[in-house]
Amino acid sequence: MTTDSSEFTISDELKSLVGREIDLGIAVVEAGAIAKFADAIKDPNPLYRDEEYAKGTPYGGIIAPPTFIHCFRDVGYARFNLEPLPWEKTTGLNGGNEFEIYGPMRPGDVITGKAKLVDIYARQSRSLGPMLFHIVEMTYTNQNNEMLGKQRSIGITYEAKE
Amino acid sequence: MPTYGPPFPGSSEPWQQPEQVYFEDVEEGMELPPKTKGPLTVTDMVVFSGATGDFAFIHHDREHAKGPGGLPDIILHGQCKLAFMTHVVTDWIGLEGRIKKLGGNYRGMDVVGDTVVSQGRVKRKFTENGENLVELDLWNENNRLGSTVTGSATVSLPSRSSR
Repeated sequence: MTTDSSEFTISDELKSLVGREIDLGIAVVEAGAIAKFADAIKDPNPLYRDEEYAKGTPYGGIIAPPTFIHCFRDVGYARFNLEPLPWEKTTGLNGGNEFEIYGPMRPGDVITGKAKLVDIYARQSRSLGPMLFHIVEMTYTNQNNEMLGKQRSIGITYEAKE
Repeated sequence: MPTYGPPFPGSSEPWQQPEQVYFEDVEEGMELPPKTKGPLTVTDMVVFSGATGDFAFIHHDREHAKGPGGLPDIILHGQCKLAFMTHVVTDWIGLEGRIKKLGGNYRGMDVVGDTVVSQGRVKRKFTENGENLVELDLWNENNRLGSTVTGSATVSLPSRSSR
């Protein structure tokens, strides 16, 4: 996908959503979900599965892989209601993700997520037409009020074809 | 039909405890051991959707991906691409290293049949506030398209002198 000049104009109404903050809710980290995520990313490390092994490491127990937060479709991933859009039917792509990591997530952790819409801009894709980019920053805090990480995501919305 | 669980179909090797890397051993320009995933199957993509709950149709429904999605085929999830890339870092820093920052931009679409090789190189090493930090350039190389993710990370590493 190549993007060059920006084409359609973003309405003031849409632009006014920038700065909006939302609560993403609460999610509980489960050992089974950690192991399934590790399977899906083809990482055989026992640190994500084997409590006996993990106890003998500096972590002292099973931890989740660094980007595990994506497993929570509500807490891990913010969906802002981006309206009004110039299209009737839309679809989306993920343009990128950046993490800051302060500590690992562990089985039993209760994670609270918050999100802020920090930017909206337009770009033109050669193959998929005009696109709306939306930049979201998320924070993840555990039950002890320790911030475990932040994520910045680049969301892309465009008109569904046909 | 492959079953899931280590060692994984399409993963490069079974798990071995990597040798701990120390800050003193790191040189700028040094390459990290790569990780190969693939050739990717529809099953791989569905397994990631199941693990994460990311059931966006572009990752499992070919008719929708090619039709309304306007895409060449069903495509690998961005977060899966990033996690493949992260695997290079977690194995390299070992049990005593820590990831401070990590991210990637998705520049190309990995589809069924593609093989993805995640790679990294040391960009810079420096000490800040008593921490031994290393900046890494990271990327995923797709066998058809070249680079489909470009990324970077900052990690902290243990020092031999503080042991």
